[in-house]
This record gives sequence, structure tokens and C-alpha cells, in this order.
Amino acid sequence: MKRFLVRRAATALAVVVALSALCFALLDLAPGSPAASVLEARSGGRPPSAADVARLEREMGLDDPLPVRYGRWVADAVRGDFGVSYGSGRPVSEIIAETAPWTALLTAVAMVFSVAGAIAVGLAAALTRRAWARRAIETALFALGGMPGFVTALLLLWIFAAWLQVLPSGGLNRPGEPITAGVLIPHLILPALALSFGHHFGTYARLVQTGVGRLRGAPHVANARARGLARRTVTARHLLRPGLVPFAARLGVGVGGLIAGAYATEMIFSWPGVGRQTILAAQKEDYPVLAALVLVAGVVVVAANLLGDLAVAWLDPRVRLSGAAPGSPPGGTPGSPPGGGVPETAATPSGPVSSGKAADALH
Amino acid sequence: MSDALKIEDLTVAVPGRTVVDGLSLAVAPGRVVALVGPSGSGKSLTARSVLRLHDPEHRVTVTGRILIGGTDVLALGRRALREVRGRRVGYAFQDAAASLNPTVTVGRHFTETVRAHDAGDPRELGAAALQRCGLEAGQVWDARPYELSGGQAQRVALALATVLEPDLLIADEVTTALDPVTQAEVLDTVRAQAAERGRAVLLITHDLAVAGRWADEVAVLSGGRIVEQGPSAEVLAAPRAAFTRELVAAARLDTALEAPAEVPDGGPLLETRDVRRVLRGKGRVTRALDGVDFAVRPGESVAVVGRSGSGKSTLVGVLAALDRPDAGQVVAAGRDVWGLRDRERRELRRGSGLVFQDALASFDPRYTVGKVVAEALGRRASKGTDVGELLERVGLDPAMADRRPASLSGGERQRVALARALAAGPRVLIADEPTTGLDVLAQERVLALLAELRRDTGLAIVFVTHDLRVARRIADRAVVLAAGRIAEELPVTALAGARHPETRALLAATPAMATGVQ
Repeated sequence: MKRFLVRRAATALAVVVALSALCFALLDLAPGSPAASVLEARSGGRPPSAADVARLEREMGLDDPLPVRYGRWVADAVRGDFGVSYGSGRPVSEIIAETAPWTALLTAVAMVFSVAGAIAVGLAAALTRRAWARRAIETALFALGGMPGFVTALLLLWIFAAWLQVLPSGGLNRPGEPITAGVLIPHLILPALALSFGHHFGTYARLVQTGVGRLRGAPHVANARARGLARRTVTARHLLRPGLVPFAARLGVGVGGLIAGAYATEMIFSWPGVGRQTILAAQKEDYPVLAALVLVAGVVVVAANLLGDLAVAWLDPRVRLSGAAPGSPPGGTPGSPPGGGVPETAATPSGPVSSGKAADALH
Repeated sequence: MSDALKIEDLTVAVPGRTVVDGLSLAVAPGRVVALVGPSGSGKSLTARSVLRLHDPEHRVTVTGRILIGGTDVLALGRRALREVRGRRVGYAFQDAAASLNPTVTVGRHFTETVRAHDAGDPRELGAAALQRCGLEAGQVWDARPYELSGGQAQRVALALATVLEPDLLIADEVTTALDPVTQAEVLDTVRAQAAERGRAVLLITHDLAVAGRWADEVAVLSGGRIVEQGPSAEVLAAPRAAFTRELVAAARLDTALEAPAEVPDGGPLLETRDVRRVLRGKGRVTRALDGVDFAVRPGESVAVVGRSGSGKSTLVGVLAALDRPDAGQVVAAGRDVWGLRDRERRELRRGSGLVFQDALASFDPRYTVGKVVAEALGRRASKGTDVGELLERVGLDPAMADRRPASLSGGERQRVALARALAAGPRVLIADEPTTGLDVLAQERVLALLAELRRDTGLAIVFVTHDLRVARRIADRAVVLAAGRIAEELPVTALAGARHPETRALLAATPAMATGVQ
């Protein structure tokens, strides 16, 4: 397990380093001089003189060699200093601190919708004895899965905000108005549902359904019943736990999709989060903000992937053994000696649970 | 004494078909009763009915009476049924490793069982049950099912089924996939526990010889009815029903099938020279092959025999040029296989056809039978007729091309695998335990087909098996492997008089050749 952890953490770190280089390149190669932008922002839009720009560039260290500038940027970033926004002149870290909690809240609630809902719906579809019920769920999930996220969002808006008029269409961010739970919760429901349904709910529920459904007739489930275990033990431990492996493997990767989805969702519902801020920064060519937000989102995605891998390793310990990607259980070793001890690699090449990312492909 | 299990007029039906029809059977405490029949005869459905384990999806209807110590299981409510399951009746399944949950430890299985019945201290009871089955709890308690060897897994499954000392144990094909030595150990344990603890055992098997050696009574099942029932020695010595006679004959068949009159001369088709292969697991190194010289000549049939872990399957991988040995040479048609370029080696692989034990697992589940075979034909498949011809050659209806392998019987699947292996026109067929999971009748048909192919086309066969009866039936020569080395090499006709301890151990454990059917 330790080796598995170390290997995964090292991979994650490498990805973060590569991402930081990319973000820095975005910042560094962008047209225009940051010094000019800062001066412009300070003076309220008047074009600065070339001498002022050159002086500030020296002060900011913009004439240092590239590796030095990258090193400095990384060192600052690690301390939480991402420079100053071209647009507003405010520290980028302040902008992140303002917007990140909103996105965290939105994605967390969407994630809870997705996980709880996918498990409930997937389990129901896998266990129901009524063929029509299963088919109805499958069809609904298929439709959900096939719909682009923004269409789902608009559909939800149309139904709940325009037609039924039970939920607000957005506009949480009204200046001067304190945000209380009474205001927040109704504003949160639609974006979170849109994010959940629009991006991965269908896939997740189908993964749970196929993962659990495949195990229904498995010998170890029959054995669990034959030993007189309570029905909920059989379902939770012998069906759900091994059946969730493909889902869990997908979940970590899904966080990336969730964050990507948050960009569109936040725009549609004018949610004051990182996604909306990123798009606004891109439109305004506010590179320090853009680079910092991309890096932060990237780090979150990498961390989520790592957590997903750990969840899979916990659910299906065979993954730990191989240390390889989930989906390659340790192969059957034909030459394991007879008797005597527990041969570490004598395995069932075709266990009832085939773990991992292979199950990503649903059809 | 009243019976531990009494089945009266049992009828089991699936939609559109009655599988078990008016079956009655009784097992007294301390007795082992074998329910014997080929695949599809209804024996597993009967066994599963005792604990009502049918998948609700399959809409199985069960009528009649199944009495466990006087209680009719079929009339019980859900809670009362759970009391019976595990506590009064233990159930051991065919594929032991698959019958355990791979995501939790062995110990957890015992704990949850004992707790479900509030029966005492799980660790204490579990350790005792494992001990009775010849395992130390410390050895396996924290292990996960996939970390066990086949024999260990079956012992664990047996201990788990008997942890609460049930009055009745149902052993459903528990040793089908085990080598004869391990099979004998496991079934000896089952029998000893029955005698010592007064436990009734219902032994489900397709192998009459197994029933003859380990059961007190035999009930022969055919088409959902018991056609013959009685003390096993009597039934096996003087079978009355025609079907039993057929089974007995098949179990007895250890004489060679008709071989070609003349084995053509020539150098070896396929040869290994001092081949070594080391397998590395986590913290464990196994010499799977430790200096093996093996050769098969044109038209020859060689059986590679040995118990699990002797290196048989590693040898198959090496012979098929799929697995590269760490040392030594593999020579095919006079050429060093690993001295060739990848392309040439791929070409060479066409010269040998491969058939595996688990045919179904060797097919893409989405492929139809026709596609499985057509893919192997590759560019040579111009029309559907080629696939049809191949299917006909292995005794299958060409119309089967549209079916999916999962819907076929075990014997039919193995024929499809054979058709695929023959598609590339190989000169050697390498078959790794192809008949191990099949019942005696299906096994006999596959063996006869192989002998016919050999006679008609001069196909050489390397047949890997742990069953000496099969070796005797299909091969001219037997190569006995033990711990990665060739223990002995001898004509199959000389097997009975073999001297090597490994061969003797295999012989002693093989039921029909030792004490069973004579």
C-alpha cells in the first residue's frame, strides 16, 4: 500500500509541475506588458509612458531570465501570492479567496447529489425485478447522459424558474444584500442540479447499475445468502462494495469534468465562483488571474484523481498489489507452489470483480 | 434416526421447462450421499433449492417438500429461512475462490457469518473450523480470497460452510477444478467430518468415480429424475439403469482412443531445450520451469500431467511462444522462436492452435460464435462457408454461428474454441485442461473428437491435464511435471506401473484408477 501511495503521489506531483509550467508560459508569453497593464489600471486607463513601463518592469523583475522568473513565480505561488490582477489591480489571491468558496460549495453539493443519487438510482435499476422500471431508469439516464450540460441547465431553468417559478434563475451576487441561508439554498439548488445532472449523473448511475448488476448472480453473493446473512449485509458488503469499484475509479476523474462543468454552470446561473471568474478573466485578457485560476483548478483535479485512486485501492485491494492502473488485477500465476503458506500472487485471473477504469467504457 | 435432509417429490421449474421432476432423496446423519448427473441434469438446481438460493431473476418455481430435521424449508418465512442457512445447513460452492468476496478478508467472512447467527466468538469458531479443514487461522485469516491457492480457497470455503457445525453440508461440485491430490485431501476431510461429527453430506458431482470413492450412497440423476439409487459400491459395480451404465462406462474409459496406425517420422515440430522460467510475485520467486526438455513430433499426442502449480500452464505459455523463458531455447519447426523478429514469431504462432480450460473466458463476450471463428481465419475467411465448415468439423451445427458462446453448453463452447484453434491450420494443438470443467459424457465427446482430428489430419496434440484417466485416453506418451521439472516420461500404457513418487501420488488420488471403479 505504501509503495502504491508513493508512486501515485509522485505522478500527481509531476502533473502539477507540468501544469505550473504551462500556466507560467500562458502568463509569460501573453501579449502586452504586465507593467503597462498595472500602470494603466493605477492611472485609470491612461496609456503610460515607455519610461514608466521600463522602470516598473525592472522593479517587477520582468527583465530577469526565464528560469529565474518561473522560479520566483512558483515560490510566490506556493506562498499564495499570484501577483496582481491587470483588470482591478487587486491581488489575485484575494480574488481566489473570494470566489473559491462559492465554487467549492457548488461542486460539493453537486457531488453529493451525484454520488448519493447515482448510488440510489443505480442500485434500484440493478436490483429491481420489474423490467419496465429498469428500462425506464435506463432510458432516463441515457437521455441525461447524452444531453450537453448547458442544455440540461437551460432545461432546468425553463422548468423551475420560468414555468413553475419556484426557484430563482440566478443572481445570487447582489451587492449590498447579505447572503443568508434562506437566500443561499434556493439559489443553490438549480445550479447544483444542473451541474450534477448535466455532467456525470447518468454515467455514474449506469456505472453503479452495471457494476452491481454484474455481481447479482456471482457465486460470492449466493454464498453470502447461503450463510444466512441479513439482506442489507448482502447488499452493502457483497453487492455494493465490490460493485462500486468501477464507479469509484471514475469518480476521481469525474471531478475534472465537474470543475469544467462549473465554468458553464456558473456563467448560466451567474454564480460568483471561480469558473465565472476564469471566463471573465479570459475575456478581459487578465492573465495573472487566468493563470492562477487554471493552476488552482488543475491542482484540485489532480488531488481528486489521487483521492479516487485511493478510494479504489480501499474498495478493491487487488489494485494495491499490482500497483498498476486499476483494471489489471494480478495475473494468475500458474507456477505457484502447491500448499504451504499463502502464495502472494496465486490469484483468480477472472475474479467476479474486474476492477477499474476498463469499466469506463459503458458499451 | 430421522434424516438430516429429506426431499419429497421435488419439482423445480424455470419458465417453460421442468428441470427437476418428482425427486425424492434422504440423507441420514453421518452419511455421504452423492447426487450424480451430467450438466443440465438438475443436480445443482436441486442443491440450491434446499436453501432456496435461486436468483429471483430466473423465476424458478419449486414445489414439493424439503425437510431439514423435520422443518419444511419451502414453507419458511424469510427470517426462519435465514436461521436455517449457514446454521443448520452449510453450503460449499463449486468455484471456491469466486464464492468468496474478493474485497474483504477471509476473517471477515467468518466474522459476519458467526455474528449473523449470534453464535459466539467469531475468531475462536473460525479458527476451529479452519483447523478441522487443515488450515491454521493465522495463515489465512487476514488474507484475501485471491491470495489463496486453489486448494486453500476450497478449504477456507469448506470451513466457512461448516463454521457453525451444521447438521447438513451441501458440497456442490467442490473439487471439480482441483487436481486429484488436492481433491482427495478435500474430500477425505469432508468424509472424516461427516463420520466424526455425525454430519449429513449431500455431495453434488458429475464424476461417478468421485461418488464411488467418497460417498456411501449414490443417486443418479438424468433429465430431472433419479434413475438409480443405492449404496455406491453396488451401483458402480452393477449398474441397472441404462444411463448409469453409460456413466460408469465413461468413468471407466481409461483405455486409449484409436490412434493413427503410424506416427509419421520427422524431427520435432515443437521443442524446448533446458527451458527455465522464474515467476516473480510480491516478495516471492517461483521456479515455474526449472530446466525442461520437451518435444512433440508430427502426429504425436503427448499428455503433460501434474498437480496444480507443477508448471503445466507455464509450459503451455512457453510452447505457444507467448511467454519468453528466462533461459533455454524454444524451437519450432527447426527455428529458435526467440531469435526471430516479432513478425516472424507471430507467423510461427499460427503453427500451433491453443485451447484453454475456461473456453468462455477466452472469447470476447460480444462476439458471436461465427465471429470468434472468423476472426481466427483472418484474411483466409472469404465467405461464411469457411466458418461453417470449421464448425462442422468439430461436430457443431453451422447454424450455431449466430449464437453467442454464453448461451452454449460447456462442451459446445470447448468445440467452438477448438474450431477457432484449427482455423489457422496448425500442425500442433496445445490444449490446456480443455475437459476439466466438463461432465464425463461431454468430456468423452471432446476427447473422441480430438482423436478423430488427429487420425484424419495428422494433427499433433499436447494435452495438459491433471487427470490421468484423460491422459490415458488421449495420449501416447505422458510427461509428468513436478515443481517445474520433468519427474518422469513414459508411455501412457505404463502409467499404472509407474515408480516415481509423484506419478504414484497422482495415481493414488485418481478415483477410478485407485479404489473406485474396478
